[in-house]
Amino acid sequence: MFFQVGNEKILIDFNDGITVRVGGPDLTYFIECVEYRNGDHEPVMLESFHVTSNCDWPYKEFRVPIEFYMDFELKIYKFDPIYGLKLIFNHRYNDYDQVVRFVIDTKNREDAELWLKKVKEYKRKNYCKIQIFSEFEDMDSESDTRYQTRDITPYKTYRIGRFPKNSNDWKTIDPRKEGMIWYGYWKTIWSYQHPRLWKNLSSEEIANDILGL
Amino acid sequence: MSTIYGFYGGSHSPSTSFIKDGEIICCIEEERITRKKAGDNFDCVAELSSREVEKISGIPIKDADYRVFVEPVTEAFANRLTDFNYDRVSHHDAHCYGAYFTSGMEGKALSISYDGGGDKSVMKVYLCENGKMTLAYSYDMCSTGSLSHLWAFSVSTIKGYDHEGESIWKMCKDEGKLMGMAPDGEYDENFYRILKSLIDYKDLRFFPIDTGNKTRFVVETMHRLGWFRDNKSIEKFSFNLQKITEDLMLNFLNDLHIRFPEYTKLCFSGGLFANVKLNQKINQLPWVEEIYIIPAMGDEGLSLGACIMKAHQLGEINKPFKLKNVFFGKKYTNKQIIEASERYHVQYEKYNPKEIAKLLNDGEIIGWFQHGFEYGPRALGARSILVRPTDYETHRKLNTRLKRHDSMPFAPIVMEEFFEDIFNENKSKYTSEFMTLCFQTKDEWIEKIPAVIQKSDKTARPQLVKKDNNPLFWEILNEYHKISGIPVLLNTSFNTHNEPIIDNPDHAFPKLMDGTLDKLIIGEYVFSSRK
Repeated sequence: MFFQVGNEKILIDFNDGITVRVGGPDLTYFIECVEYRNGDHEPVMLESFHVTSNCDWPYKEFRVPIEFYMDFELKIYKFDPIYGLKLIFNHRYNDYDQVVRFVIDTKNREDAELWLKKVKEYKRKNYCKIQIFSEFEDMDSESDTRYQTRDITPYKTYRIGRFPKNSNDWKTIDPRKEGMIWYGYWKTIWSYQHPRLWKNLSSEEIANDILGL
Repeated sequence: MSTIYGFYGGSHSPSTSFIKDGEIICCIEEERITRKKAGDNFDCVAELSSREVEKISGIPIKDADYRVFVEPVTEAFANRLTDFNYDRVSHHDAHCYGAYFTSGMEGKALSISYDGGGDKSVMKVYLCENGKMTLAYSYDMCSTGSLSHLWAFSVSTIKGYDHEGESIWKMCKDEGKLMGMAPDGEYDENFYRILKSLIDYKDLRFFPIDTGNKTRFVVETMHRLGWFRDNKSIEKFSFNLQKITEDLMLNFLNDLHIRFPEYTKLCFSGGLFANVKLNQKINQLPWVEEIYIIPAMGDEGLSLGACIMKAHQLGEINKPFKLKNVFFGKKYTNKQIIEASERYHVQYEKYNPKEIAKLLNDGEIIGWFQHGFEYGPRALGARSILVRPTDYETHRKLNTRLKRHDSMPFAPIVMEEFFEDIFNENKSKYTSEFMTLCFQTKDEWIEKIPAVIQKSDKTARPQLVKKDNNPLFWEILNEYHKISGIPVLLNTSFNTHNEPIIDNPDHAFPKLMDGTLDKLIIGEYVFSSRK
């Protein structure tokens, strides 16, 4: 998604975690991602750092690699010589009436059917337009009409499956947390795809975790 | 009755403490052994200090009755020391317990900790009464602003970075330098407004969240745009940083007072309360009866707090007590001292306080090495350098000799008997035994002891010296007083630029040999370099 706010051009994308780029006259911008946990009105800190707008060093983009559902908000600030830290843009995750892509990553028909049900439950809860990609054509056709095409960039992509930790899960902390990842300010997750270790979870629980149901 | 080890090995300032039957035996900060200041040595654990404490206590860690680690701690470190049998306590609980139980406060008191974050909190407030502590507030790190982060990230960015990308000034190390510049600055509406965009306060809440990274962004940008090209602008920034810290913290404490009006005694812990100017402002609040800041107020104090928590849980420490001193570090025998001296070209004679007082009065710089070394950031009479306080020039002379560039004024030590003659406030004398609080100097003394008075605001950070608690220090003060009529000496920490306070005689003698000191007193001896 592209936004222009004054002289700043902002690009945000939620299809592979959360990515933000800012271009503008300032050398750096400060980006913050906060989370509203359990319906709280007060946000908690998830990640923040400053990005460089006109060159690639030190950070050309802001990235939170977490892929599963979170109620989060992005805030972009600039330095203002009069007011100090000045908020120039904010965006709270909201897929109402947006196209959301669900990649059902299994060859097991039974799992796929259950996860499709969960996708529909997500749609009923959030009023989004769904786009389904799976190993089963009949399930893909459950997508909302007009949106069964990869040509559309969706607002958000969810991958539902059983994913191993990958090399990007670099913040694995000590064994007492049983392989959890510490993220930002004390959020612990199992990987960027799963809030909890999926091995002992049912198929339904795995989908609930990923979709925040 | 029990033997208890406490350990802190989090991100910075590790330490080890040992309590036996409710009595503090030994507390050692890792930096004293590694010889690297905490701010230069992040992510180290209490490995060496634990071995030293083992030697002093004579009780192997694994044979102690209890071993307590303060969060955050890595399992690997804890297991290596304990064979998996240990307790964990929360960071801010250890802070609050340590402060309250060493405060000696009777009746109701609040114990308040505040730092950049440990475990998951930045701050806790406990209601305390007659040895019972009840948690009133806990502020989660990811949902609260932090004044400590405002300082830490200001310090680490205001001077920029060296060619390797390292901060010129470091967090957890150089905050005092920035604070020391504040009195020479002035109020600036623009600076204050900018700082207020980073942290504010209302209704017992500090906000917005994530003060640290926001501060880094703003101060780094200001630095890049050339806002801090000269010392004057840093002084101005520092003044406003100090002001906003005081304004918000006093608002918070006043709001706490509205909720708990019967609690007029306050004990503090956590790095924020290393700020002696803030502590002075708190002490001046009209409703405050007494404040106390635990001498090892930063994370280095956590290992003692952990021991105290456990001892309290076991019923071995039931009521707040007062510390006589903080000489809980390594001690050296006369034999060890003489043996060490033989490695240097020095001569010695028996210590005579009258003679030393004369030398001090003549302007000599004297190294002072007694007891076990101090626990906490201040030199309080175990590893000190003493000078007469009567010369304006002393600040420059001492900084040159010690290769320091500090603008912080040096601190006075003052005989208890004369404390109220020299300083205006008379509250919170116990905490001033540990040099944790500034006082306003009375007009008639400002010209008499200029070397220990802040030039701009006429405050001092005195150490009150009691004859019973610190007899050797009191004695030299007394002898100097007899000669000069001044019951005050300048006391600065026994170290040179960028190094921790010294530990052993082999750290002390080179300072005599290289001309930093004119004389060196260790134990019963006075050493001088052979001509």
